[in-house]
Amino acid sequence: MTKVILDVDTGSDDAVAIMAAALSPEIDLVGICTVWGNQAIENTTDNTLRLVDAMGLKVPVYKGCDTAMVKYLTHDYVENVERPAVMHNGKAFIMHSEHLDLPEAVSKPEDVPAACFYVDYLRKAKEKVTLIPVGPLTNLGLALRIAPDIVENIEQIVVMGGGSKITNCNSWSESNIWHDPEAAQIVANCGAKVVWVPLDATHQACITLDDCKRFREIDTFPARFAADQCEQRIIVHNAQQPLDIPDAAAVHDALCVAYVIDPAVITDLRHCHVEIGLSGYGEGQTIVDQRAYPLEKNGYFAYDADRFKFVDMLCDCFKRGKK
Amino acid sequence: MVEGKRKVILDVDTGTDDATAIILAALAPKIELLGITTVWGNLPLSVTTEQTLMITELMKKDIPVYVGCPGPIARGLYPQAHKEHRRVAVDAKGKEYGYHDLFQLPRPSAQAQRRHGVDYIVETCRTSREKITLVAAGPLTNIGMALRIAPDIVKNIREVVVMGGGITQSNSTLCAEGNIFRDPEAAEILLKSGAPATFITLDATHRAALPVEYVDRCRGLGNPVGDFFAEILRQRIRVYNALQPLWRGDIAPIHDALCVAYLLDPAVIPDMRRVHLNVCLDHGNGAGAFLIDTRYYHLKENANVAYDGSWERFGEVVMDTLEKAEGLFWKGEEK
Repeated sequence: MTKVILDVDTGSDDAVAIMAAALSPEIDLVGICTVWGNQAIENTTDNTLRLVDAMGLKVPVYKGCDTAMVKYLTHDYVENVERPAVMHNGKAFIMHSEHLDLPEAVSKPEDVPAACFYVDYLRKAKEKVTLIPVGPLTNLGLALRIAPDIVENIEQIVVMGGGSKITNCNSWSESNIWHDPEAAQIVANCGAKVVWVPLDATHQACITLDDCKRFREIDTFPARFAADQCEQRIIVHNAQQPLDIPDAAAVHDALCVAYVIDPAVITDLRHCHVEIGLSGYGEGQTIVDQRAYPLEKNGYFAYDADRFKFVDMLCDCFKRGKK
Repeated sequence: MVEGKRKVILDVDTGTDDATAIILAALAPKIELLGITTVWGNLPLSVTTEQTLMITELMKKDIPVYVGCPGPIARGLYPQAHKEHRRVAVDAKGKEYGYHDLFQLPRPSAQAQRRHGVDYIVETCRTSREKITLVAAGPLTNIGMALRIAPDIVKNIREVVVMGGGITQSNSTLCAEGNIFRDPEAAEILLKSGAPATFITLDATHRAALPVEYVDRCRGLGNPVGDFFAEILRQRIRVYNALQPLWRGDIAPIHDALCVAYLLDPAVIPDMRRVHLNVCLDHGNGAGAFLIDTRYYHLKENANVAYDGSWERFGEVVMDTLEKAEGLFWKGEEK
């Protein structure tokens, strides 16, 4: 079993990632850190706790940062454009609801802030730990600056973020990286093995309405809840960001978990040099050195994924869930 | 809890002036020194931590030391980052003197605590029943990190007294003082946090520089702590005369100690102003500069900034505190 810490801004696709990680027999989920991003930190933490309770998990949740490391200290960042809600059958849908449609959480986050948890846990770890950050990289960026020595106990960092040919936040960046470019740059060059799972891969590993039917046939709580999340995402994707395959949605964060369970789900992974744009046009861009004579390779960048394998893997996880 | 004492965490990059700040904070009856966190800055973190332990061990006081951050929050990510270089004075025999080399002190046998300095600051501020005063004598990395990770600690911070910045004076670059220059984002996080912040600037510390007469006065105290401080002052005067002559000769600022002295007697700062302050976060020549809003229609005040210092008052505070050191201090090499 691989020891894993998830770092989430739950989040519809984060929810699917948490369920897959919690149910996979390959993964020992030792902690969940929360971070701002898809929603404010209070909501992403509350949503994470709601899901942890609904799943009956005994995994500690550590509340993380409420804003970027340093980006918003000045006024020279590029403003993002808010996208309106999508109306569907008289109801408004957005990519990440403020509250997951689950009973209110009973559990509370731990007293220790997420960044301190990383430092303390990784320093004491007896075996190497895999980190799967799927929101802005704020907590991890801070932890790596607070205690660079924690790299010694990191097996790999599998990041959901970035895009080479595909972006979503603006013409050059993907949201997780755009939200905290400095944190991403620290992670990129921290010295640990970093695997970038960008939009280039996650848009290939899309989930279709037919896949959602398969989830519903499994008829466990996680399968039904994943179907809910994916169907909501398909509505928003169809209206705002149609993919190559009709009636499909990217479920980005879950692909990182799938990669840790079985790396074969990523079908085109290239060893390369990755830098993050830090200002102006290019702020938050994942820049892959494409030259024949690149700078020293510091990471792995995923360009393609096997969507059929991905869905099979998710189904295997969800079958293990409670009714 | 000791009645009427200020609860203080000292954050240091020891450093000769940091050493003096530790001594004053540990000896002053008005201060309850809860713990010391170390940070990179004047010297690498391993050295500032070791030198901090040397001082606490000399003090024979059980003050826990927590190791903090080894580098800035987010500087150095841009390839064009402005660099500073270390300057040393060289005497006729070719011996080098830096600002912050400590002398032939015994190597410490004490260890730093296992817990990280940032974690310690967060936990202490969250759990203390009385508000905490943080004295920052190095780059603000540890404090900026703590405020970013746990913004709720602001409500339990009485004041952050920072040695840093300058109005007309600078040292690391043409417009920035070292502690602010080395981690400007950390300083800006503090300024935007809502925590009461007081900056003891170079303008104050240079004016409060102690003259060479204090070397003999401290020796005359007849206690080892006086001798130790006399040696620090002598070395600093030598380096300042050579590298950075001030408004008159044969004086040296003890920057960090002025922050602690300010807690003991606010009169050491005869001109403290309430202003709106930002720190320049660019990556060129302006990095780390103090930007004080001097307009009539200025932005809301967020900091106290020291515009002047009194060497006479500062000297008295130092002498008063060191006098009390009899019997509390290391008695020289134990053979």
